[in-house]
Amino acid sequence: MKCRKCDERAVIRIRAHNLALCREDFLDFVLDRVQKAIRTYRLLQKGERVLVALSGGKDSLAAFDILQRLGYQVEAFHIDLGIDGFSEASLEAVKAFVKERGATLHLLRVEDELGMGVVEAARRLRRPPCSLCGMIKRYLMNRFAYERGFSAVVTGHNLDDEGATLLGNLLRWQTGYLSRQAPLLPSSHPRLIKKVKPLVLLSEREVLAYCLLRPISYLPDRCPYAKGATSIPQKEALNLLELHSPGTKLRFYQGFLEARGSLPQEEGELRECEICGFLTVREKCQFCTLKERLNATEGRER
Amino acid sequence: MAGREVEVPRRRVRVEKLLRDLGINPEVALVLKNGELVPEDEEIREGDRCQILLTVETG
Repeated sequence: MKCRKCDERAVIRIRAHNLALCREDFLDFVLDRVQKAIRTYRLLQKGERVLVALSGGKDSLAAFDILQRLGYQVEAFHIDLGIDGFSEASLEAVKAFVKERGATLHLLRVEDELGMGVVEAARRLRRPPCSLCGMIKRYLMNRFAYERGFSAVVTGHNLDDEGATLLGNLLRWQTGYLSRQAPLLPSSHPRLIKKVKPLVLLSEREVLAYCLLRPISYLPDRCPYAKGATSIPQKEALNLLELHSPGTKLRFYQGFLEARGSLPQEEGELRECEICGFLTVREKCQFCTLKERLNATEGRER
Repeated sequence: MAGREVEVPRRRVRVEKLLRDLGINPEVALVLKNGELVPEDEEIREGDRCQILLTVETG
C-alpha cells in the first residue's frame, strides 16, 4: 500500500477518510485535523496562554505535543489523584514528557487539597472513586487556570471519547448533558475558564498511531478504577458500526454538533459558591460540599 | 492498551486476515511488524515479530 500523497510506503490506512499515509504525511494529517477543529469550533487564538491537563496517557500528551507544534503557548498541568501505584506512574510519565520538551509543569495534589487522595475520600463517603474524580479534576483545573491567568484549559478527549459520551447521553436521554456537550465550553464568567478539546476530530486509533510514530512515550495503563466503565461498551459499539460503515463516528459527532444549536439549553443559572466564589448552580459548589462532608467524617474515622 | 505479541499462525498472512481470524476489529487495532507500524494489506511471515496494540480494553 502506497501513501496517497507522496507514493512512499504507507504505514497506516484510515478508512474514515479513505486514505493510506506514510509516516510524515500521517503526522501532518493529524496536525491538520487539530487545526481544522480549532478553526471550525473557534477553540483557541494564537497568543493565548493555554493550560494543558496531562494525565500521562496518550491523548493528553498528544494534545500538548500537537498544540506546541502548531505554535500555541502551552504549559502543562497535572493532578496527583492519590491512587496507589497508578498516580506515581502517571506523574513519572508526565515528568519525563515535559522534561524532554523543556516545558513548564504545574503540579497539584488532591491530598494537599482534601487531606487525602481520591480513593480514600471515596471510601469515606461510600461512593465510587470515579464519581468524585471528574468533579475534583474539573474544579482544580479551573481554579488553577483562573488564579494563574490562563485563558483556556485543554483536555485530550478524542472522537471515540466524545462519541461514547454522546451515545451514553442519548441512550439515557440526558438532555441536560446533551445541551452542554461540545468541543468548546466558553467562558461565561471571569471565574469560569473556557475548556477546549482540540482532538475531537481524531479517532482513538489515530491518536495512538500519532504517539507511536512521533514517538511520544505515554503511560499505557488505564486507571485501575476505570475497568468496567460504561464508556467501554459504548466505544466498542461505535467501532463496530464504524467497521461496517467507515466515517460513522465522525458523522455521528459532527452531525450532533450541527444539530446541537436547536436543542433547548438547560443550563441552570450559575452563581458564586458562598465559600470559594467559583461558579455553581447551588449555594455551595460540589467541591466545597465534598470538603465539608469529608470533615464531618473525620471524627468517625478516628 | 499494552501491546500483545501474537504468533504468526501460518507461513504468511496478511494483517487484515490475521485480525479477522483473531476476531479483532481493525478500527481499534494497530499492528507492528518487527517494531514498525504497518497497514492492513501488509504480509507477515513466519519469523516476523508481530505485535497488536488495541485502543479499547475488552472484557
